[in-house]
Amino acid sequence: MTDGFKVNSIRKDFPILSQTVNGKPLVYLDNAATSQKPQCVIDSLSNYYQTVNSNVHRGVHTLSQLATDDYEAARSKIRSFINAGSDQEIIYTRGTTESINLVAYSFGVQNIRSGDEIIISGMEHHSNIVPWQLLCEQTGAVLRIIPITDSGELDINQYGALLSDKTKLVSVVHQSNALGTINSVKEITAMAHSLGAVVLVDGAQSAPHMKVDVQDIGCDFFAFSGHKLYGPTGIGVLYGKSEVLDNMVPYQSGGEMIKSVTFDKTIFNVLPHKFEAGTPDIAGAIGLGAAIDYVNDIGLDAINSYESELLAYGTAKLEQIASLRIIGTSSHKGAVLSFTLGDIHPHDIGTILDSEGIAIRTGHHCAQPVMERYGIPATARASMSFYNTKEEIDTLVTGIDRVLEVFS
Amino acid sequence: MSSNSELQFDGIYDDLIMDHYRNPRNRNPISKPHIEHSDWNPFCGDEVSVTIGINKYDRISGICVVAEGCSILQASASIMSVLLSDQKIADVLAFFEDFKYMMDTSCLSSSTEVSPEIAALRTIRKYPVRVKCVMLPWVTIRDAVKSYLS
Ligand SMILES: Cc1ncc(COP(=O)(O)O)c(C=O)c1O
Repeated sequence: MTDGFKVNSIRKDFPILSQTVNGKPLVYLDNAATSQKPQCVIDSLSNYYQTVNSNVHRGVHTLSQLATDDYEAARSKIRSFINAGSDQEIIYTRGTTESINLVAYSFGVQNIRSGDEIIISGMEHHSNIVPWQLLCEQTGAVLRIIPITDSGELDINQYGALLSDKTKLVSVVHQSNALGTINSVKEITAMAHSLGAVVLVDGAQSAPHMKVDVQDIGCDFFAFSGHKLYGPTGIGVLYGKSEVLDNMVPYQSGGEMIKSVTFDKTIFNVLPHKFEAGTPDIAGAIGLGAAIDYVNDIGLDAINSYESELLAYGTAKLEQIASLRIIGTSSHKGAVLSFTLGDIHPHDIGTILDSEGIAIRTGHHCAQPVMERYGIPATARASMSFYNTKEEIDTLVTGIDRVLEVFS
Repeated sequence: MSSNSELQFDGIYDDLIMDHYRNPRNRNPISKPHIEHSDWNPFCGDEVSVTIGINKYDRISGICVVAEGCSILQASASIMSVLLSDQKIADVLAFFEDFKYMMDTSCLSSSTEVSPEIAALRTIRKYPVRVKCVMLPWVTIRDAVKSYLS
C-alpha cells in the first residue's frame, strides 16, 4: 500500500474497529451509509457536555460565550474545509436530506413556477429526488432526468440537450452512493449557469473522500452530512452563495432566526442565522469540527490516494470472481464496489458476510432508479474508507467464496 | 451443495430451506382463481403474489405462490404453499396467527413441537432483520384471505 500511509495506527483512533462481531473481527465496509468515529470526535462530544454545555447566541454568561465560540469555530473549520467565501455561507442542518429540503422549500417555492424545469440525474439518492418531485407537484414545474451510460456515468450530451431557458435549477450528486461514480460537477455547473439556472451539488459522498472547493466548482449550493465525514449524526451542512441565500426566505421560523419580533412585523436575522431556527445541535457542530480537524491532520490528498489504491485492489480481486458483476465501472469513481453475484439475492450475500463479521450494505441504497436502470432489484455494496485495509478486502473475497459455496 | 455442517456460520441456509429455494413448489398458475392478491416490501423490493382456488367444501384446491426476492423469502413462500394446500380457507387466518407467534423473536425457545419446515424457518429468528423476508408470503395470504372472507 501507499508508503507512509499508517493505516494500522489510524485504525487505533477508531475504537469500534477493534470489536468482534459474530465472533469475528469486524470488517466494516459500509462507509457510504455512515462512517465510524475517531476517539477525538467522541471526546469532543463528551468534553462539550462535561465542560461547556450551554445555549449559543443567547446568554451573557461565560459558558454561553464558550459554547458560542466553539460552535462558531466549527463553522469556520467547515468553511475552510470546502473553501467557501465566508462563514455566513455555512448553514448548519441535520444532514444532506435537510439541506436539500431547505433549498427545495425556500428557494424552490419562491422561484419555481409552472412550466419551469428542474434537472436531476438518474443516479440520485432518493433525498435528491423526492423533494424535487414534491416541488414540481406543488408548482407545476417539470422534472427532467439526465440518463446514465452503461458504465454508470452521466451522459453529458443528453444533459446539454435537456438544458434550456426553462431550466431553473439543476441538482446532481457529486459522487454516487450506489455506483461510486464521481461526476464532473464543475462542467455541469458551468453549463447550467450559462442558461441562468441555479445548481445544487449533493456532496454527501464526496466531502468525506476528496478535496472539495465550492468556489472552484462554482455551484450555488453544496450539501453534506457530518456522519459520513467521521462526525456525529444529526449535523450537516448547506453551503449557499451569500447572494443567493440573501434573497431566500427562511425555511423554518422561531427563535435564533429573527432580529426583532413585534406582533406587527418580524425582521429576519442575518445569514446564516436566518436559516437556523431554534436551538441547534451544538455538540454535533463541535463534533463535526473535530472530525474535520482529524481529516485535515491526515490530509485529504493522502486519504484520496490511499482509498484509490484500495479501490483498485478490490476491483481487481472482485473481477476474478466469475459470477460477480460490478455495477458502476466508471474510470472516475470513489472507493465503492457495488456488485451482484449470479442470481444470489444481495440479502443472502449480506447475511452470510455478516456471519463472518463483514458489514456491507445490501438493497437499493435509496437509489431505486439506478437499480431499474441496470434491471436489478438490488446490489451488495462494499464501500471503503481510509481505515480499511487490503487484508479486509481479502476477508471480503473469502466471504464471497463462502456465499458461493452455500449457494453452489 | 456442500454440506452445511462444514460451514462455520450459524447456518440458516440448511438443506430444507435450500431445497425449497431451488425447487419452489406450487408455482403453476391456477385457472379461474377465487383469490388473487400481491404485496411487496418497499424497503427491499421483495414481491409476493398469491392465487388460490377454492372447492365446494371451502378448502384450498389449488394454490400458487410466486415470490421474487431472496432465498429465505422464496423458501418461506414455497413452504407456506405446501402447508396450506387442502386447508379449509377459514383456517388460514388461525394458521397465520400461530405461525406469527412461532416466528416471534422475543420467544426464542423452540419448545413447541413443529414440523421440520416450520422449524427450519424458525432458525431465521437468529437474524431478526431477515424475519420480514419469512413473513411477507404469510402476510400476503392473510390479507388475501381476510378480504375474501369479508
Ligand atoms: C448521495 C447521498 N445523498 C444524500 C444522502 C442522505 O444523507 P442523510 O441521510 O445523511 O441526510 C445520502 C446518504 O446515504 C447519500 O449517499
